[in-house]
Amino acid sequence: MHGSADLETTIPVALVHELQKIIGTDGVLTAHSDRMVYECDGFTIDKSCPDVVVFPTTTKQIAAVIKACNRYEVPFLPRGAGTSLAGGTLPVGGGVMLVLTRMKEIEEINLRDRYAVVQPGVVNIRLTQALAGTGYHYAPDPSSQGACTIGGNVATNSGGPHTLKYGVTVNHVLGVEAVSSEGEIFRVGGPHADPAGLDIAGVMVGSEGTLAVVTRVWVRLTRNPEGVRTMLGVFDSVDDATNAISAIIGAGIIPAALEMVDHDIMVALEEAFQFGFPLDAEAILIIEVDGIEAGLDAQRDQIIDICQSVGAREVRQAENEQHRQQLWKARKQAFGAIGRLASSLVTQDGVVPRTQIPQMYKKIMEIGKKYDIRIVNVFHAGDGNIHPVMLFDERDPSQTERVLQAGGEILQACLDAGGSVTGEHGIGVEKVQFMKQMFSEDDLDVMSALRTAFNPNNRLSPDKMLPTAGACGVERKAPSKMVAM
Amino acid sequence: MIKDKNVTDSTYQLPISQMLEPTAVTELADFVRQASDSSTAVYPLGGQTAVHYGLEATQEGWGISTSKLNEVVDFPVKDLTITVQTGISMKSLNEVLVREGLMLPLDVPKQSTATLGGVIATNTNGPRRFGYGTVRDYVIGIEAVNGKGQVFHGGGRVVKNVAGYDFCKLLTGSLGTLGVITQATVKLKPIPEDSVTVIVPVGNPDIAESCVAMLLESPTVPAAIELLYGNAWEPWTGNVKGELTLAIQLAGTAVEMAWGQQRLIHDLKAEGASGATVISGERHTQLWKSIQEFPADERELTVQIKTVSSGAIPIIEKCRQLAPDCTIQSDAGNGVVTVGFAEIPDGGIAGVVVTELGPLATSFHGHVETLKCPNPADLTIGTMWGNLSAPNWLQRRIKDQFDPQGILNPGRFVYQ
Repeated sequence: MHGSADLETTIPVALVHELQKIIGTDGVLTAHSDRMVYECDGFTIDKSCPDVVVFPTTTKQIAAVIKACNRYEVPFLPRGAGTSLAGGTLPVGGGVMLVLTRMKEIEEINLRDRYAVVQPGVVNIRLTQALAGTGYHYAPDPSSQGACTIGGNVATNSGGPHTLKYGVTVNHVLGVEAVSSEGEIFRVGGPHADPAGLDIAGVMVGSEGTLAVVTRVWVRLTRNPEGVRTMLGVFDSVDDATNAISAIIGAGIIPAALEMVDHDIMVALEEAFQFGFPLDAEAILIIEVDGIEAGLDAQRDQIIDICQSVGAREVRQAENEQHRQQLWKARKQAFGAIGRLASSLVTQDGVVPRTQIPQMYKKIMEIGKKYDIRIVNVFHAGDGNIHPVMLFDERDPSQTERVLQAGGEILQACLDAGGSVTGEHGIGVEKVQFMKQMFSEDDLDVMSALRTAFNPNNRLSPDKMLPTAGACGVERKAPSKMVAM
Repeated sequence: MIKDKNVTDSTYQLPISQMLEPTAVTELADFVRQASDSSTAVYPLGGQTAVHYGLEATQEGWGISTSKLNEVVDFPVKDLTITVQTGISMKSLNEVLVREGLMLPLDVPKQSTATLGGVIATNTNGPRRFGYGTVRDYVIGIEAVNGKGQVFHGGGRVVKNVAGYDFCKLLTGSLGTLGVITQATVKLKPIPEDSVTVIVPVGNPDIAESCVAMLLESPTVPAAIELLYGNAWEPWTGNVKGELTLAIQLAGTAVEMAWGQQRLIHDLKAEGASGATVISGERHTQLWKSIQEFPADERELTVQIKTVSSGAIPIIEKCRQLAPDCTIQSDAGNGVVTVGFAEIPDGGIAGVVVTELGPLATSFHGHVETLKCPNPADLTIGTMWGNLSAPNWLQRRIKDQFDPQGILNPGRFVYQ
């Protein structure tokens, strides 16, 4: 860190000096070359360099930084590990970025009352690792869990494969401590689940850093299931696989996880992980049930029957825990493997009612054909959360344009089916223009009013999430190269 | 439309000058706009089973009832979701769901009149919250009318959705003060094949604590963990006066039940609670119905203490000291203790809630609520809710944005 080395920023020098005084010079980046790392997150199309990057280590420092920013009327925003796929941490218009990765203490683990208190920079998987051997885990398990922070998970209400049964981040957040947009430290909720008064922690989850800067989180801990059965359903057609998904949910079975991977992604995964995927199959389903050991074989057999009744070629079972872990590792690292398929990739994060996955899959492939774009698919199928991945070469402007159109049409199809444009990645800057298609003017007006209650001067994370918060100047130039599922 | 102005339950009457029963959300929004224009208070009403819940209303105004907004809007059975207008009673909703083998496991009292809208507005939960979660885990889409008469939505009809602010959470437990809730989409669960109760007397608080701690980690995954005390439970607990009883609900397949009940009997004995028996069939159903209704039963004073799980037993002990003849029902796995007092203990409501139970609840990160008392008009924020979990300045700012004229349920909620 070269805080005082050169002040190549456009914000007032006096503010920079104040920030250095608050944080210490080793926690303030001002050199352009240092700050460039923070010009985008996992959504790489749009870039905007923060004027200063600070690394606070305490809530009080964050409050002091925010008060200073307000005095100088400079915008500011928080950032965790920067794994957002929607530009949630893009510093639109520059300003001061608070990177919270140095606040990474797990402050308390209370097994008797099933909660933990963590700082926002704790990496998701570290909490579950810290719980190893206790019989408990932290349930939300986004595919990026090896890198993403719990503060970031709170901001985006992160999901993951096992949220099908266990719920997304908001179902596991009991309370937060935060700093308001004006620098006031406050706390909402805490170790117990029933707030007296408004459920403000509930509405802060998924607010994409536009309401306050979260500095501490009370999370629920989940008891490990007694037993697990993990199956791999092998299908000769994607239609059969999607029909199996629909049939399993329709039969009233809620697996712990239910994921679909189509042929092309499976081939890439096999190249990367040599798991032994059946390369001649058109689709695979990863189906996991967990719970009381005494009842699991019956559930497994019921699922095998359903899969076979809709035409599964075979249903394999993970032989042991190691085999199961390998399967999940392959699934969660699909992002890395998929880079083998094309020079550029863009994924969508739409949601449809979960029994409509078969129709939605057909629609996606029709749209791919219409725009002459190759699309491969990996779905959080049990939730109806689709991740169609469009493969192309971004050096070809015509392909890029078609990818943008195809992506828009897929999201519109999700809305037409009664779904959503984002299941877990968030709106960020990427999907701001879709908010008007999903919500009415009054809906957006009331959302804007809520933001005003928390963030009256709109200096915290400006131009995110809501089209009404001011003209979002970000034009779609090219789709993202990044993809994660 | 002027109807019966007597909007009342057993202990409290709202100051209502005119009763409105809109048949469409647009009509409801028109009424709210008219009220806003004339600075008239609006009291949103569902089944009127919790009119007493909250502080005294500060202005005369209109009652806006959702009784004519009670349709099922969309029920895609196989998606395990349903969208309904919120004036639907919990009983009617359950009847629709049961036909498809589905449930919304919230265990709300007075189901034949309590509406879904009221359940959401009051965040009412019951014993199976331990196994199945609470209102906020089920509501995935919401429509409401704010104090300006704007119809607004949050969430949607799909089970996973992060677009926009989560108004489902904000409106849950907001007591109609941010908006009149008119429609909701909820997640559903399949009805389990079977359920049974394992019931056992627990001789002393230490044994109760080690049993609850064991149950939290039990592979049998109980649907509900209840600690019961008092005469009301005698039909199930036998005639062991002054003793605490644990009632554990197991739900699942017949195979799971058969294994689970044997396992529990064994594990409870290992913790010092011997003599466990299994209740099934009609007696089992009646027990859980009584537990569900308990918070709403008629009595002089009902308070509910909400803390972390480890707070349940110390709070139960404190209540037994305060009034040995009280009746207690506690969702011990979740740290919720509901206490019925046949008469108000020495020191009055403030004495019980603020002086005796308040500090203990605080030491277990929780608060005390007065669910029912002879004269709600006497309650203050402190005696009604105890410690608030969010700062007043922030709650007030949110309220002012949603309801700038302050017409929705004025005086009744936490805003200062």
